Amino acid sequence: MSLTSAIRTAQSSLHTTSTQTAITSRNVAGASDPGYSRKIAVVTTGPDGASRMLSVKRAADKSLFDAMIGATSRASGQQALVDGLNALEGTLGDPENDRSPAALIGALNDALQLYSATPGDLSLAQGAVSRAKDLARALNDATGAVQGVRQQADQDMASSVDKLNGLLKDFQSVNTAIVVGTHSGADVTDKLDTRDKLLSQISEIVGVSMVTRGDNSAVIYTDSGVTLFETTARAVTFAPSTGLGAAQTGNAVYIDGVPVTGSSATMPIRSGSLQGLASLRDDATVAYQSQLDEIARGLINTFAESDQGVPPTLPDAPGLFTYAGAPATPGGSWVPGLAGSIQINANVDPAQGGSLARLRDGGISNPGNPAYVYNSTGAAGYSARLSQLLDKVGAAQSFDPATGLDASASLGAFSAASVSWLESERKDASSAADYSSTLVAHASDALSNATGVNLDDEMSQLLDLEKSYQASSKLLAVIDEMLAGFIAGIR
Amino acid sequence: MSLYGVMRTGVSGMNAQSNRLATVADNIANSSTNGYKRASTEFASMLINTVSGEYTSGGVNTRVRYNVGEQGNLSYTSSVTDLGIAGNGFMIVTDGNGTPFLTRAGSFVPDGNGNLVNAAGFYLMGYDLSNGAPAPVAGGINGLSLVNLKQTALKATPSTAGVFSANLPASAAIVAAANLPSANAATATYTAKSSLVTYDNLGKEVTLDVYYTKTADNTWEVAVYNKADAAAGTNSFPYSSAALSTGTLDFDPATGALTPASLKSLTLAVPGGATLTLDMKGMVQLAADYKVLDATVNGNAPSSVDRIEIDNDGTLYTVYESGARVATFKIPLADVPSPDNLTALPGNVFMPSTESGAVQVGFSTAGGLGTIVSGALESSTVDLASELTSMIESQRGYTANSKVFQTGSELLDVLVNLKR
Repeated sequence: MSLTSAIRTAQSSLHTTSTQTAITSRNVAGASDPGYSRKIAVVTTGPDGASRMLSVKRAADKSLFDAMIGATSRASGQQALVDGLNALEGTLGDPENDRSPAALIGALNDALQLYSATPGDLSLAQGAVSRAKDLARALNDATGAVQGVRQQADQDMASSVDKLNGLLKDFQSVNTAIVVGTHSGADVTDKLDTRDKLLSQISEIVGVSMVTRGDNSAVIYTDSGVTLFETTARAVTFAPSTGLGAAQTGNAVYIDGVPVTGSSATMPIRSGSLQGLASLRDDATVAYQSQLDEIARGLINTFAESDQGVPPTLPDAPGLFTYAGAPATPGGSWVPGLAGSIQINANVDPAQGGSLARLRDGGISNPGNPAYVYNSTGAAGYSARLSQLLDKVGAAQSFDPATGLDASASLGAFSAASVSWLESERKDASSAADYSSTLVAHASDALSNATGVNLDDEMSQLLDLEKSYQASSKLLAVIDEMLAGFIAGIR
Repeated sequence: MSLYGVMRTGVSGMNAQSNRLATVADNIANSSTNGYKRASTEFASMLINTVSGEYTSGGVNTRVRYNVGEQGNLSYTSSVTDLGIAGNGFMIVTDGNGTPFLTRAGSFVPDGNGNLVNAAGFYLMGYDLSNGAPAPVAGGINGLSLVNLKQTALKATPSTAGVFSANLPASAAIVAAANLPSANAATATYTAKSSLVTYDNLGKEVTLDVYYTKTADNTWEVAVYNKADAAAGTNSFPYSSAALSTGTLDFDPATGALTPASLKSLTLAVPGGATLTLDMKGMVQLAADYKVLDATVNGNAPSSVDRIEIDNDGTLYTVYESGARVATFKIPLADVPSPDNLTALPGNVFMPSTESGAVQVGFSTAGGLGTIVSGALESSTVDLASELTSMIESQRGYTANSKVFQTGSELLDVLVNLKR
C-alpha cells in the first residue's frame, strides 16, 4: 500500500460513485413509467481493493409478473365479450323498453284483443297490423344487430391477429438484442423492460406464458401450450369471413399451424381478447340469433292459417306473418336466419294493396283460395278467428332446445326469457370483467411495489453516494497535500 | 595511500548516489506508464583487504533491480482488449522481427491488419483455436501466432443438441392408431404440438414440428416433422415427407416421470444439417394442461461479428450478432522462476536471462499463474512518495560523499604544503 495506490483507489471510488449516480438518475427519470423496473448497480471490490461496477441488474419478480400477465389476458377476454354484449343490448333494449320483441309481442296481443272485442272496426284492425309490422321490423333489426356484432367481432379478430404478428416481430428484434447483449455482458435491463412491456401487450390479445432460457432469450407459449415465439416468431393466421350466415361459425385462428379458437380447436386458448371475440362470434351471438329465429318461427306458426274444409286436405300456410319460404310453414325446428326474413303478409297490409278485414276473416295466405277463409259469410261481427289467434298466442308451444331456453313456453314468455337470457349473459360477463380488471389492478400494484422505483429510497441512496463521493475527493486532496509536503522538502 | 583511497571512495559513493538518482528520475518519469515495474538501486560494499593497523577504504558498487514481481494496481477501462494480469505471469508479445518478449503492459488495440498491438508497438501472441485446442509446450513458445481479430465475417453453426421437457396432460383422450401423427394421414389427430427452430449446415432455419399424442394410458407417441414439408392450407397433415423421427414415451403411473426403460432422447437428422439429439428426460405426465418447461436447441444462423470478448482464462471469443460465442484464440501466460532477474528492455518488455530461468508457458488461472482481466490495465508500481524520499536521501548521500572527497583533497593540500 502506498500513497500512489491510495490515489488510484480513491479515483476508482469516484468513478464507481459517479456511475452509481447515473443509475440513480435513470431510476428517478423512470419513476413515472409503469413499465420501468428499478435498476441496481452491482459493485464489487477488485483484487487490489479498488471498487468497480460490474453490471446493472434490475428488480424483477417473475411470479408477480406472471400473475399480472394472466390477469390481463383474462380481463381483456372478458372485456371483448362484454363490449359485444353491450352493443347488442344497446340496440335491442330491455323488456321495459317497447322496442324489444317481448314488448312488441305484448303490444300485438293487446291490439288483437281490442280488435276482437269490436271486430267490425277496421281502424282497430289497422292498429293490430301496425303492431305486427313493428314486431317483424324489430326482429329484422335485431338480426341485423346480431350479425353486425358478429361481423365486427370477426373483423376485430383479424385486426388483433395483425397486431399480434406485429408485436411478435418487435418481440423478436428485442429478444435477439437481449441475447447478444447478455453474451457480451452489456446492460440489457432496459431491453428486458421493453420485452416485458411487449409481452403484456401480447397478453391482452392471447393468454401466454413465458419461459426464459439460459441466454436470457424468451420462449412464449399460449396458455394452451402452442408455441408462439421460440427464437423466431411463429405465424398467426386468420382468414376473416365476408358475411357470416346466421348459423355459420367463422374461421379459426391458427397459431403455428394449430387451430386455437372454435369448436374444432386442438389446443384452445382460454383467455385474451382473441378468445373473447371468438366466443362472442361463435357462441353468445349464435345462441341469441337462434332465439330470435325461434320467436319468428313461433310467430309464423301461430298466425298460420289452416284448411277450413272438412276434412282438411291442404297444408297450413303462413298468415299474418310470412317469410321467404312461404307458402310452406317453417316446420318444427330452428330455421337459421328466419328472424331476418320475417315480414307481414302483403295481403293484409293496405299499404301494399291488401285488405285489413282478412285479419278477422282469414284468407291472408292465399286470397284466391276459399279453403283458407274462416269467415265464409263475411259477417262484420265474426270474432272466432281472432279469439283463436289470441288463444294460440297465449298457449305454450315447443321451441328448439338448442336455444338454451325452456323448450315449451308461450310466445310472450319465450321472448321475455330471451331478453333476460341476454341480460344475464351480459351481467355475468360484465361482473367477470370487473373482477378481472380489479385483479389486474391489484397485480399491477403488487408488481409495481416489488419492482418499481421508490423515490424516497432513491433519494436516500443519492445522499449516501454524495457522502461517498465527498469522502473520496477529500482523500485525494489530503494525499495531494502530503505529496506537496515532500516536494517542498526537496531543496 | 589511504588519503587517495578516501578520495576514490568518495567518488564511488557519489557515482552510486547519482545512479540511484537516475533510477528515481526514471521511476518518477514512468509513474504513469502502464505495466512499468519500479527500478531500485541496490548498494554493495567493496572492501579492500587490509593489514592490521592500517585501513584502506574501499568503495560502493551499485546494482539496478527491477521489482518485476510486484503487482501493480489494476485500473479499469472500457476497452475489452485492455488486458491486465492479477497475479503472476506475463503476456507473450513479439516485435516486428518476430522476437518474443514478455510484458505486462496490456493496452492492446487492433492495427490495420487486425493484429492486437500495444502502446509500445509489441504484438500480442496466442494460440489459434481454429486448429483445435492448444497444448502448451513447457519452456517453449512454439505454436503461437499473432492474435488477429479480423475473423471470417460470417459463421453458421448447425444444431447438434437440444433439450425439450414438458408436461403432457395425463387426462387427454386416447387417439386411435390410424389417426396418429406418425401415420401422416390427413386425419391425423394430436394432443399437443410445439415447434423448435434448429439450424442446418448453412445456418438456414429449419423449424421442427413436434407432436405429442396419447396412444394409451401412460404411453405417448412423439413424432417430429419438418415444418417446410407441411401441407398447404390449415391442416399441416399429410406432410410431403415422412416423420424425421418418432418414438414412444412410457410414463410411470406412480410418479408421472418417464420409466427407466422409456425413450429418453430422440435422435434425428435435421434436413441439410447435422444429427440432432433432443434430450427428453425431463418429460412428465401429470393431470395438468400441456405446458412446456424447457425448450433449448444450440446452433445459430449465419451472422457477422458483433464484438470480441476475452474471458478470465484468456480465451478470446468472437461474439456474433446472433448471440453465439465462438472461441477463436487462447491467450497464454508465461512465467519464469525469478521474474525480478528478467532483463528489462525498452517498451516495458522483458527478456529471460540466465539468472531468471527459462520461460514456462501456461494458461491464466491455472498452475500458479494469475488471471487475465479484460478491460483493465496494470498501473505503474511506482509510488511517488517513496521515490521522493529516496531522492532526498540520495541528495544528502551525494553531499556527504562530496564532503569526504573535499576533506581528502584538503588534507592532501596540507601535506603538499609541508615542504616549502
